[in-house]
Amino acid sequence: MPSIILDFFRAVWRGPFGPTGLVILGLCVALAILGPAIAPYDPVARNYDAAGKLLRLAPPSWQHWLGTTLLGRDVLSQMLVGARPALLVGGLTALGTVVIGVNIGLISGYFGGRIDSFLMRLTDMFLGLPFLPFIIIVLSLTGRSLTTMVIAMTLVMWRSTARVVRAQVLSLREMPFVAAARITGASDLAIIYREIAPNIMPIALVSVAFALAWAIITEASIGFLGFGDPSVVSWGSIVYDAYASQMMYRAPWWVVPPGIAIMVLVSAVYFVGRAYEQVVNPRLRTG
Amino acid sequence: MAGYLVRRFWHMVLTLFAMATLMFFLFRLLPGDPTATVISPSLYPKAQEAMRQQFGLDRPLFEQYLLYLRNLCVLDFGFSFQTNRPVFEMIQGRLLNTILLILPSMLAAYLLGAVIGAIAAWKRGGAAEISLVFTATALQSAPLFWLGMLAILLFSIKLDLFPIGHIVTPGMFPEQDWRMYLSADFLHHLALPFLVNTLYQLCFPLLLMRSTMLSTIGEDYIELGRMKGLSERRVLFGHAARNALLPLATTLPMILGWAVAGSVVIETVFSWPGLGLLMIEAISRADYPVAQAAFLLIAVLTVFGTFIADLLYGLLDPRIVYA
Amino acid sequence: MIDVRDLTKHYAAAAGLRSLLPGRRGEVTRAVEGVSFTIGAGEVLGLVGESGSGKSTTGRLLVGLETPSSGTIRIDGSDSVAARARDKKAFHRQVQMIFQDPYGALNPQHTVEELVGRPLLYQGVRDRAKVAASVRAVLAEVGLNPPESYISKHPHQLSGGQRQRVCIARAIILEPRFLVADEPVSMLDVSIKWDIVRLLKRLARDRGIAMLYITHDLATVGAVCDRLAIMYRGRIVETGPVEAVLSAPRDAYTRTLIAAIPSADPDIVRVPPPALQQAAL
Repeated sequence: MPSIILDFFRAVWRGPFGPTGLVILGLCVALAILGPAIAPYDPVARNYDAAGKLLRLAPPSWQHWLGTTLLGRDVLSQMLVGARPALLVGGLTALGTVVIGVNIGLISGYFGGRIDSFLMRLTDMFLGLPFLPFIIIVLSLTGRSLTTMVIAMTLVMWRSTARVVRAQVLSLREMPFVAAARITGASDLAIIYREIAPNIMPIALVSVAFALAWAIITEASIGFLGFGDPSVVSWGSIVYDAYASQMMYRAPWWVVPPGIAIMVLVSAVYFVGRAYEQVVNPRLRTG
Repeated sequence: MAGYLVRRFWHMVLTLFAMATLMFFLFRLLPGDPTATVISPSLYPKAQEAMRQQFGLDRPLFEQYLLYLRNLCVLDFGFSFQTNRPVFEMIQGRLLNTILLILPSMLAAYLLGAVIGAIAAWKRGGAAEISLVFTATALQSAPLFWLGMLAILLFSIKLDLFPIGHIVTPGMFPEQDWRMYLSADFLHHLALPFLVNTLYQLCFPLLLMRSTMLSTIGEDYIELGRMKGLSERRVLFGHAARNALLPLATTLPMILGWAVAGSVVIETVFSWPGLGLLMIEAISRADYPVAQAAFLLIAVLTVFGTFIADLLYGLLDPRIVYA
Repeated sequence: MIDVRDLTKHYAAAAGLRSLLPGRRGEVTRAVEGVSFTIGAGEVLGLVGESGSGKSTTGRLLVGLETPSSGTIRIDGSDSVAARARDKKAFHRQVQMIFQDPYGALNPQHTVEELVGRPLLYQGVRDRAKVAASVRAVLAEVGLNPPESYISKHPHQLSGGQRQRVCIARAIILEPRFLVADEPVSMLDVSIKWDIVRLLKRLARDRGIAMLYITHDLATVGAVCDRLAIMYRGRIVETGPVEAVLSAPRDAYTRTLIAAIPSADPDIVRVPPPALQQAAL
């Protein structure tokens, strides 16, 4: 297992894009952890000027680098704090996707037969489900919290990883080294997890990288549509507040930063994912 | 070919059936009064009782399920909590609006994306290619709603080139007048959301086309083409591009899914009265019959679009027809 | 001691719906048909045939990767199919296989130490020190000396010959009584073939292993086999001591095979000279 992580970093650390992505990702993770601590103001506190007047829609200034919202809240503080839900929801969804997707892909691909048919039928049937609307419906029925968001998103996302893993398992199980393991007394479970799994992890990780990117955007979209966790400040919810206030077009400093943050973070994930994919799938090597 | 068609059609029917079933159970079995999602709490108790009888909510679950399926087949989606009118009335116009926005922009996105991606592969290694890849990745990473808002900020407010959302200038046409679709006003309102969606959606086919062509270029039969004396351009577009079309076609169903899902976002930003916006509005108002119907219709669009895409795929690649 | 009697393996030709079509029912592929032979301890039997002759299937049947349609396989007197059903792990300690493709037969993610130690792991041996010692001992025995310089390597860092030695090491670490070598040198360079073939012969003799050497190439059999069995379309068409079969073949097919061996001087009759046989041992 540790060798796979090492291989991952070695693979990504080449070319201009991979390392850039890793550095940005690292910074965002640091922000997710330290955000609330380094924010200059309480993100939901209203701010007043020296004369005691509410600082509504104040443009960027030395006191408030990114200005304030309609309710006088410091945009920079909201931005710093917003990194946490983006990475938390994204990261947990990616983790759930890997765990469920890889296991289902392994079991389905290895055993084949009825188990495989059943699982794949199930997957195919729900592949046509429009992701975002479905998640919104589920959230509206189960309540809006970060937890339900992660669960709903994982339920929708594991399928693509499972299919990718299963496809590779189908060809791997015919390899002689699997037969060699079988004739030394290895059980099916041992073959799946000790022989086959290490060989599909690279491709599973690629799938997960893209799942992470999608999860971050989706979490922001859900926040923008107003279905995020009401007690959490996220980049999507900042845009939602701006949109709902009907004043957004008068305060670009309120609307622009969250989008840029999301764009930078997701680009970083794509860079890392693509750099890794180049190594894992030699057919993609360009030039 | 006929066998393939039948198989895909049957698959589509099964998917829709599964989705309807899922919706049924989601709405009925979640905690809380299951009838709250069917009968408007604002009705008088006597009216509620009457509706309970009509929808068979006092009957066993399985009977309710069959009733639900039957209603769906005759397009009876129940009554809106808010307007107490049949849901179907509200849906029709919205469906058309969504299709008019999403379908053309998806087609444009795929065509443009494929072409630009091919060009990027042709000009590989140059500054043009790198900046294209970079821009496409960045655009794809930005949230669609934010792109829409930026577009409005720039083109509608600062430059005053386009209206700020909606489908036609309010008040210009009486409600549900089909003639509005033929007006210049409609096109004027369609332009910005169309452009934004197209720009956003073309990134994926662009990058896919480029990477597929680049990997194809290294393959043997391309070398053969070069040795035959074909020009670089002929090799690229004649051979490499045609084979790159296949992964593009394969991913089209997936992209369609995203696009329809994205309709929720883009319709909200531009106040475009389509199914996506209807669903969001309905959920906010706890108007469950409308929300459910809107979602089902979005799902039908996605699945049907996937079906059409699979048909085209079957035409392109004779191999899978016999799989 | 291996005793194979009337071993048969049939595959149903058409699977799924097509097997219900009239005319297709009952169609079988007779991969192995009534094959019989014995191999004594320390003896090497060469099973020779072209692709599709059923020789690989025979090997797989003996190792337990397939189940026979009929016939018996006896290892040291006990029926192997029953033994496998009774105690799978114990059965696999008795008979092992060396595969044709040394690259595909080794898990690319594992080091040599893991690869060779795996069989012990799967057999339930938990003593790490014991496993490490066994691995090193067996690596030295197959000629990968010093073992320490190989144990941390991955398959892609080894040459073809080295990989096949790792496969052989893995095959003998459980100390099997019977070894099936399925075309072990067909994917190796000519210069390496003789080394591996010599190694196999020495192992069989020194460890008293009964070995079935499957090949399509008659050029190597003289150096490793004591007896030959020629296989054609699922049946054995000729058996006998190796020199006898090669110098005086009785079956027409055997004659075709011998004639097909490429020779530096086509005028010289194709029999491995005694000197070469001696040198191989």
